[in-house]
Amino acid sequence: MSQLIKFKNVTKEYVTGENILKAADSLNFMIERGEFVVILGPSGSGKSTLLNLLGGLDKVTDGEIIVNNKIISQFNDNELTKYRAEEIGFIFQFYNLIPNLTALENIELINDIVETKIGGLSYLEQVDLLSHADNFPAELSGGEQQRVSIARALAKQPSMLLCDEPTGALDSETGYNIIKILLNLSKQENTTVIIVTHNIELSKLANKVIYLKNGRIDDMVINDNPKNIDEIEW
Amino acid sequence: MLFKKMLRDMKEHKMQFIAIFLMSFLTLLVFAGVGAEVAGVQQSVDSFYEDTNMADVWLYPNEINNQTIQKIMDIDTTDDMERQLVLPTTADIVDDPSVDLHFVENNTIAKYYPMDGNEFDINDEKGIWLDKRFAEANNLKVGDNIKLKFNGTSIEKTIRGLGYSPEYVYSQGDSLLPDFKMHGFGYLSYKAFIVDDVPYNTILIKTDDMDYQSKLDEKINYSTYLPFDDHTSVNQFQQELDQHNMIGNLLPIIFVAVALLTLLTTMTRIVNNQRTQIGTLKALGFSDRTLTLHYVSYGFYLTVVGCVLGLIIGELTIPSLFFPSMSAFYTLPSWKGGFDIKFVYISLIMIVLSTFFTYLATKNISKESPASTLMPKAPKFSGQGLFEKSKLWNKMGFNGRWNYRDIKRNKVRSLVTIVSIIGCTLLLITAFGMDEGMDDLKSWQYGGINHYDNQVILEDNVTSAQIDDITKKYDGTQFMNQQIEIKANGISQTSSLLSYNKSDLITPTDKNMNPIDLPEDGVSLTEKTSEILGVKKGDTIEWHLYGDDNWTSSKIDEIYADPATQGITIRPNKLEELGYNFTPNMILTNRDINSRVDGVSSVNNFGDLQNTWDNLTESANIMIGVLLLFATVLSIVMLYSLGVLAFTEAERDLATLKVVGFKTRNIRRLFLSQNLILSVIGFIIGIPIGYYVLRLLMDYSGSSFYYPIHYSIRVILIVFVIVIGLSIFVNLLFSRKIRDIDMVESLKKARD
Repeated sequence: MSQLIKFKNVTKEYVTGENILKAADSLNFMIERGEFVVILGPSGSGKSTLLNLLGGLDKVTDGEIIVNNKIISQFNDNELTKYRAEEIGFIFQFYNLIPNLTALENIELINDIVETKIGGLSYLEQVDLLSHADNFPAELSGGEQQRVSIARALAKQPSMLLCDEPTGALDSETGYNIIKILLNLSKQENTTVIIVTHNIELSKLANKVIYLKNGRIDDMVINDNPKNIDEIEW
Repeated sequence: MLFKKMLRDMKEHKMQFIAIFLMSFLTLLVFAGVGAEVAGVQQSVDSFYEDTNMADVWLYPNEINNQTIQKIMDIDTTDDMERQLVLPTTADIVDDPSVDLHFVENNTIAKYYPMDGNEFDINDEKGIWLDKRFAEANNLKVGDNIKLKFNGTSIEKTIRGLGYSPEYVYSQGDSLLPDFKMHGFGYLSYKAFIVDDVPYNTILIKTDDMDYQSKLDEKINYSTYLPFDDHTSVNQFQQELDQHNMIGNLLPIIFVAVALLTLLTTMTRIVNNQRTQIGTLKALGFSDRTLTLHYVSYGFYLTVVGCVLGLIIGELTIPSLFFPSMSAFYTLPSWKGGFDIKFVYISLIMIVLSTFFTYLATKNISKESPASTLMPKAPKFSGQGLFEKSKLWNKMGFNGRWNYRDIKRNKVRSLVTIVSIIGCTLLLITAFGMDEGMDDLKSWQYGGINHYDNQVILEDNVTSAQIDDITKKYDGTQFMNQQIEIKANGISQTSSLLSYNKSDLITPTDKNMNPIDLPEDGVSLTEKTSEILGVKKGDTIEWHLYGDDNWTSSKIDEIYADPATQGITIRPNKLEELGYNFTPNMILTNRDINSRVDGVSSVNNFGDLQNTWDNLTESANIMIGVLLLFATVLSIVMLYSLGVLAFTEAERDLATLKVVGFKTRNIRRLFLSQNLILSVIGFIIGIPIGYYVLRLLMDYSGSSFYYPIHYSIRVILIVFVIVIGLSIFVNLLFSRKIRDIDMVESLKKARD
């Protein structure tokens, strides 16, 4: 396996009035290609900040983020936009589909930013939603919307999938199915998947688990033999 | 895909987008429509002048002989010239209409423009080429004979052709407004005159020399020099076009302002609403530029479509709306719309402006980092102003406080409401003000000032014995009306000199239509002329009669106002004292008189004149109707679309109020009072602006008309009732929406 991501002393401060909040405080870690990584921690521990920095949605205050041998923490806005478009697939807790576009259109939206045009149907098939291609998000269940969101992320063929509480708004069975899809992607397609979650059970499935607390890494566990999804309590 | 998203977003906010579309549509509809009318008519009249080789100068020399001609020809900038005898006559048919005859030397300048019958023939001794509209109004046809009386003699000629003349695009005759039955013109060969030696009185000149008059001054004596622009027909028609142009340029300003402000509010609202979507798209890798372009395109496409449609439909429809009323007053061989490249420029400016305003609403997209765009926006912090700390605030009920804060937090939206109402008020004031002005003018002219039944027009060669005879017999008032040129402050103006003795038949008035006495031993000037010349009571003016090149200086002793005749009034005694002869050309009387009486050329009955007036002013009602329509559309469309906006924004709060226990009635009142407050503010600001616009319109109506404009309680009340009525009407449309607010659903929605 080759190294994909490296965080070197990454710090992110938010200034509100006179208060300085360190949402990320000297983070150091590495992630290799194809890894299934789970980031755990209580609310406000800096999980989402970490994901946003990695995804190029926000900029570091200090330190370096290296992805694919490029120092993305030094990218300007245009480079970051290109980076997001080419390397990153985002999956959000609330799916964040464009409400005015159908399931298929939400996926083919990607065609506006990538160079090789894609057909949305094959990706919908991958998440088993072919029959719902022409439905608007409001006509889909939460699980179905999240599957569209995954299909949209996959359509870009990203180097990594960044998932912010992907099952947070779903019931357990639907959540199970979503995780299963993500796990399969990691195993079969060698896609790097990084999941931010509250759900400790997920850590049993991960190659690597990062525990965050107050913006710092509290613990990091490397799991050489992650459990199969059928083995864990859901 | 983003294009599809845009279309669906527009569908969701259809009321606002319809409003924006309509406003940009109306902007171009009015601008290009009226512009097309003006451009087309301008082209028509220009080519009419071109085709007929319209004169550049009319010269009325004291004497025309071979020497005069030679001297004029000697001026190197004289391109061409022609002599005419212009002779006022009376046609020997029903109602004794007046006909101005032009005996022309060769018909090369200001040529007769034949429509029916034969071409003009300079060798025809027996033929006359008549005014087509006069002939139609009096049932005269090619081949008919017509007898014309002048100076006690008469001539009879055969009508060879019917047509137009560039000098008679506008011709008022003796009436207040053009009347084709009562006034016409005819062109004849000089060979058709009764004697061989034609007593020419007019010289038509072609020249490009701007400084022609000074060259002429050195050579010959003349009584009057009339350049092209000062010719009554040319001048009146140009002023009419200027007035249209002004309406066409002024009205769109309102629509542009409303369109741009609506765009700003709607787009701000959409962008705020779609915060998370914008964040998502950014996370997907869409660049700020793409997204800004996406949102900016909303305003772009709408205005493009609105402008293009407005331009095309305006071009096709508006000109033909004007033509019936225009041709009731004016005579041109053809009426057609035209095109001006400035319509395209205005469309482009409109499109650029709306794109810019949309950009203003969306520029925050690129300012924030994608991560923060994904999160809900922090609520707007609005501090407490002085007013909110005052005692009055504490006394205010919830209704007042809620509305005050709502307006304060939605400044732009409130501003659009106010601007829309200002526009609506302005249009209504203009419409009703015009309507009332027309009525006022009629009652002023035919009731306030003039109280006689008949206007007896005297023949040119009438003797003073005949005049005295008629005056005595019919208990009349002798009345003199002569063309003069007035000069002051370097401005000169063609106007009228009126002279008559104080009489019960005429009551001079001031500009407020109150009767005043004119000084017996002084010179009185009309309000309109004093405004044009920039003079006031006590100042001095210079004037001379047309046909007499001696200037007289007079101090203005009184200012009076008259709706239709502008100039000065001097009592006969004073006139003689100044060295002029009192030569009445009319006798006013309440008695019935037959035009067969010796010395009488024709008789105008005032009842008939009033009917003519009524018929002609009907065409002005079209304009008033159009203004009313615009006002209503503006008010309903804007109030409704802004109402929808306010309602969606406040839905959650309203639901909360409902949950707390507010009755639907209370919530309706909450909504209504905000609309009413804003409407009243707009109404109050709109009144003076409306009157200002009305004033502008009236000032452009021609130099011989004076429209009294005064704040009329009646008009203001009508406008108030309509503005407030529309506001309440629109509010009723929301009643159901308020009743149907789903408390559970509204409260579940995330706060923007």
